[in-house]
Amino acid sequence: MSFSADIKATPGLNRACKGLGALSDTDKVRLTVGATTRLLGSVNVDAALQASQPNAARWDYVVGQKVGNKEHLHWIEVHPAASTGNINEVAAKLDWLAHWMKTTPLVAYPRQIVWIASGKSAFNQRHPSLRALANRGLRYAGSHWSLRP
Amino acid sequence: MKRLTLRNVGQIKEADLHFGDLTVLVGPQASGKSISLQWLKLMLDTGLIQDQLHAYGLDYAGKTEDFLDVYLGEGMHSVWQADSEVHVDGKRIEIEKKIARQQRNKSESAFLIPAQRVMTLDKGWPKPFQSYSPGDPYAVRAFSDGLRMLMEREFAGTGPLFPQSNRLKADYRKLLQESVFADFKLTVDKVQSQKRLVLGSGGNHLPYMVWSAGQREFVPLLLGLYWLMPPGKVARRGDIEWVVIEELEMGLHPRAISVVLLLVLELMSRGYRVCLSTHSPQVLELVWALAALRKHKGSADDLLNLFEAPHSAGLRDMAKAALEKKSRVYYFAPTGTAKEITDLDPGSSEAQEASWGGLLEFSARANDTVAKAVANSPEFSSGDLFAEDK
Repeated sequence: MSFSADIKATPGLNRACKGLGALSDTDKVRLTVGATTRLLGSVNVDAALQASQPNAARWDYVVGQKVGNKEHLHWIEVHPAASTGNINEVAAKLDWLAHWMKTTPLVAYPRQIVWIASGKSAFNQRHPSLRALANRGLRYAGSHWSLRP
Repeated sequence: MKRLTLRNVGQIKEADLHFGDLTVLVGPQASGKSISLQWLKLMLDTGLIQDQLHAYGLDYAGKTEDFLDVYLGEGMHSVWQADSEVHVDGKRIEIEKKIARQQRNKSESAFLIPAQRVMTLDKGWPKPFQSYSPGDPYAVRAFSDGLRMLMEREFAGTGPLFPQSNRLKADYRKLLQESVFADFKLTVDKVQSQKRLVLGSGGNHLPYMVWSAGQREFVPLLLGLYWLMPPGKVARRGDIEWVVIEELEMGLHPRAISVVLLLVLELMSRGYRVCLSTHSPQVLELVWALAALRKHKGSADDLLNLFEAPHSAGLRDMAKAALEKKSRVYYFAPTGTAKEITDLDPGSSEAQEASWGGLLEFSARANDTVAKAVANSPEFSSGDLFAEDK
């Protein structure tokens, strides 16, 4: 099991970019990468699957990281959090991600599924809908996410 | 006063507080919130405090150290050191001189409801100023004595203290009945000749010590609110402009906290400037909602919906006035600094603001812990969690 091989083996993804290279500049600044964090690469899932699944609620990115001897995946969605309607949008994307991931070798990896707010946040961590998303595996990170070693 | 700056006072290295109509202080225990609020009261009411201490035979001989032991409580003189500074509206106050000389202002400008308010009724009746030990903080003694005067002057009759038709709007009384008192009425009875407050229902009178923790906490707060909201058409009591309430949430269920917060808005609508210290995210949720409603032109009805309060004409007027008020929030860090976090943006890159001064930290960690466990579970991988969406 290796991140780069399994990305290649996933229909539509082809290959991973180096480091955070798949992320747009505006999204990249929302991630903090520790000095000793070992990144395995990144893929813009949304862009890669646009042609094959144009109407799907596609997830944004996957970033690989090696922690100890294991490879982990960060599934990252950068999305507005300006209204509770955004929670429903991200919930739809999470549904899509769960179903799609199941069809790929990437489902075998330890993972964190993260929503990073792309602006000011209209809800706090006590919001019942965020609790419901946590119950389905999603972490709400606010405007930043750290990839620590 | 618009601004109070404290430097090297007790655990506070620097706290530069710009007050709003509502100012909320958050932060862990012993981070300087209470000290700051007591210095606010001292700077506003120096003459009154000096006068009261003299009247009750507390002689500090014009010395700052002795004064602070009496005012803040035994041993608290140590908060004031050679490098300590207090500034009011940017102007440095010479504390030693101010304390050494009797100040003129003798009417009360700031009414402080202390965190230790439950102690004021420990025998079921407010204790007079002199019945406390000399080392007890002035704030507790003064509050207790104020309640005693209220009881003697304004509740000498036989009717219940709560509910009472000329105290608080009927809507508030109904909400308090539901969230705090249930079927009970707060009344005065006598054991031999000693008056005491009791909660009565159907001929059964419960003394103070058997009340619920929330009721014991709430009744002194209620009496304080009675003092601040006199009966009749008078909006405010005397010359009081400031209301300081420490930890209004103590002992209360979130529904009761919600009603107390509604009463805080009532105080603001009457023109009081309110300062709170709190450990409750619910208080910050109100500040957050107020700012959003103001910014996005929300209505009085929207604000009342937050409280599930009736949309009566009186409450709508109150909510409308409250929406025009401005709030400020400060986080007191254990390192001794106070940082303004008024925006309360949960998505902020500033950890103190995003976590609302630490009040959301545990919620965030709980969410993260659950999400991580779920995301790596067989149920997630198999798609069972999402089966209903298929």
